[in-house]
Amino acid sequence: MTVKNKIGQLKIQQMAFMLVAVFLFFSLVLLFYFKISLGDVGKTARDLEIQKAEGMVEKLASSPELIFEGRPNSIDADKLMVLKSERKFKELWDVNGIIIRKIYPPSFEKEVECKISNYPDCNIIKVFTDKNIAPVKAYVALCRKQSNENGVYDKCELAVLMVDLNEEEEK
Amino acid sequence: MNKKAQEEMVGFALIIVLVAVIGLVLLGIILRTSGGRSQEARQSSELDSFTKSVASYTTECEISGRGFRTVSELTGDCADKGGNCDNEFAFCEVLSSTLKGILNTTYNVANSSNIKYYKAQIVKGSGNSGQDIIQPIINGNTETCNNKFLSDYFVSISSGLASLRLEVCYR
Repeated sequence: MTVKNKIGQLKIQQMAFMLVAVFLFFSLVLLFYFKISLGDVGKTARDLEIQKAEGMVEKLASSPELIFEGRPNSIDADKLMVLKSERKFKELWDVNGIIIRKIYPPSFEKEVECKISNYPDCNIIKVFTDKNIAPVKAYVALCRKQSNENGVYDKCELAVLMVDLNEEEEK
Repeated sequence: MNKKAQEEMVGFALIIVLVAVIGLVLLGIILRTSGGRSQEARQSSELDSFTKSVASYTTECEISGRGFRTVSELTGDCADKGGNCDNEFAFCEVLSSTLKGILNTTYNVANSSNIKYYKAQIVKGSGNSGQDIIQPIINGNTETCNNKFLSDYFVSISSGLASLRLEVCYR
């Protein structure tokens, strides 16, 4: 009888040890996982912000209001100059501002903002914003109609499109 | 009987250790593949937008009756028949110098910059067996690279397809 009791006690001990070990093991794995995933939340938020801005840049570069004659990745500078003062497009595109900076061919030593009075002799178009730079960029062809003695032709230059997202969204 | 229970406990402990090791390895692999994706995606999408925009860039090459040629049109002119622009410069020469100018302005290859090298090619046909239309444009040391990005933009020419290929190595 005492031998059977001893075996029973040993079995209970074994089971208890097993349960404690399993519990400890899964607790450690969960702790490890949460520590890493919670530490990544901030980074994930920033990544999502950047991805959203990237999506917005692509959307703008192919939006019918801005695209130049259906050419991929080409923005109509003439349209952009007209839309500069149309505040309703700020809500439509859901942005704080759009910045387009010409990079090639290099035209001016310093920054010359495009206004109706100096267009196209300028190198930066700021729409709904006074900022000069935004974190996410994409390259675009900035196109306009130009004329010479042979007639009218399309002139496309290389530019960088930057989007400043709404402040509420950035938070 | 006691010995058997001890053996079972040791076996169980071994299984726990084995499962823990496998779990940690899998967790490590999952975390490694999900981390750092956005930076790569951003550089890759920037490069794609760059090649697309370069293809639409208007060069200095004017042909009477056909206007100023874009990089993609000039690629076709250079690959298909050769010839000269109205200013007497050869199509291929203008194409090459335009690309050199754009790349030199956009990608700064120096010890202090995050770009190790770039290599631009215009290739007739697709795949690796394509034939170079112009001399490849290379800046920097192309020997080794751990962070290389490649973008291809296909242009339709009369003899098939040509590809504007850009390879950029980031530090």
